[in-house]
Amino acid sequence: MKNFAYLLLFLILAAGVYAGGAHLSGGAWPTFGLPLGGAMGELRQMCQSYWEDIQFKDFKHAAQYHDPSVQDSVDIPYLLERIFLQKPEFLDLMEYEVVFVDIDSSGLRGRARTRVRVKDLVKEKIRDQEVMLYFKRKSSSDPWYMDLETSLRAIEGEEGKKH
Amino acid sequence: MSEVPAKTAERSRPPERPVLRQVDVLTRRYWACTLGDPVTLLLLLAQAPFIGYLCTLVWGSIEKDTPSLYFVLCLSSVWFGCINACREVVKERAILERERFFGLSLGAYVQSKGRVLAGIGAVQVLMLLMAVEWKIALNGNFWLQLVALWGASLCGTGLGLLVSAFSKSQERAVGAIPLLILPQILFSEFSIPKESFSDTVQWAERAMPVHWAFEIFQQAASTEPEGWTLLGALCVLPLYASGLGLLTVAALLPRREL
Repeated sequence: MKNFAYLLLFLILAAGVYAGGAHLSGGAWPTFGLPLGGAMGELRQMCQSYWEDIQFKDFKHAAQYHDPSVQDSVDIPYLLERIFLQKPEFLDLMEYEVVFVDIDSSGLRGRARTRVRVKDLVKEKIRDQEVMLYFKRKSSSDPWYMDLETSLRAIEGEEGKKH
Repeated sequence: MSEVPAKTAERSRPPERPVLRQVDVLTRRYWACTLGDPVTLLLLLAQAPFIGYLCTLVWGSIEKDTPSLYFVLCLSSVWFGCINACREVVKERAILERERFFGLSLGAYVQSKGRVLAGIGAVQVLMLLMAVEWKIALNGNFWLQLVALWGASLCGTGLGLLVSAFSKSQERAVGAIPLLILPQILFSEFSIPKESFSDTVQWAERAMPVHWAFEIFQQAASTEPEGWTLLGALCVLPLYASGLGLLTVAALLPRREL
């Protein structure tokens, strides 16, 4: 009985230490669905959900991570084609993970480096691609929005400068 | 009167004790001794997250993992095993020699050391990997990487015990550790490109446990892993560690006057 109590105490302690570690790591350690990790954890979760939407070709839902004012104008299939140089229907997104998350000193801008393993169904080739995702929010109490639509804009040269 | 010589002969022969029972008793005794020195145990355990933290400082600046990070992790695991084990036989050699008169099995003795040190090694590699994952997500399956590092740590433990069995003092055993670690770096693709390896260097590389653990990491991170290479590397590490355990037993066979 005493041994069992010690074991139980140890397990509770270990779980507490793990939960603390998972929170402080910003959700880098698996959180098993618990709301741990603070703002960084939130960003990680958003990245995971975003890639999951892409994996299942739910572009409408993937667009919802953007600011409501631009949601309708976000063309995710076009962006995917630009990143992976292949049409989304010929892409099999096999795995994805968040490699690194960073939040700036103001706490209002975030970025995440994600690693995506895709299979090009035309060339029958598997490759790893790293994709940066950028996030913004108006204040620390506001929700994060993805800043992906900037990547969709055509690059235009600055006026009055040589290119 | 005729019973007396028979009894004397019986007494002079060491009593037979089942090996498994000996392993159990010796493991519990060694574990109690280890827990009896919590500061040393904590120091051994704390070095793992510290090295992991240092890795995140270095690789955090490029915000991604590279093969060199995998190599450092594998090398660190071998180092942990070596440093955990290198003093463990030599420091109690006198006790060991005395207990051999009473039927102590050398196999059971080495196995008991291996069991406790394998447990400590498992906690160390788990903390090392989690400290790195704290900042950078490594490419590949976490559990496979953990097994690779644990295998490397077991090999390091085997090397450490072997050195400890041969050494005459704790200082000499600790002093021999760089001789075990440096070849792991020298005979690797991080010294010269793999294409430039001579046959000798190629064979020497295959004799290094770090090479096999690194192979597992590379296969785990690969987009198209080679199943047989991965399986081979996974088998080599425990076999290597077991072989080193047997060599340790052989090294302890000659009795030492103390």
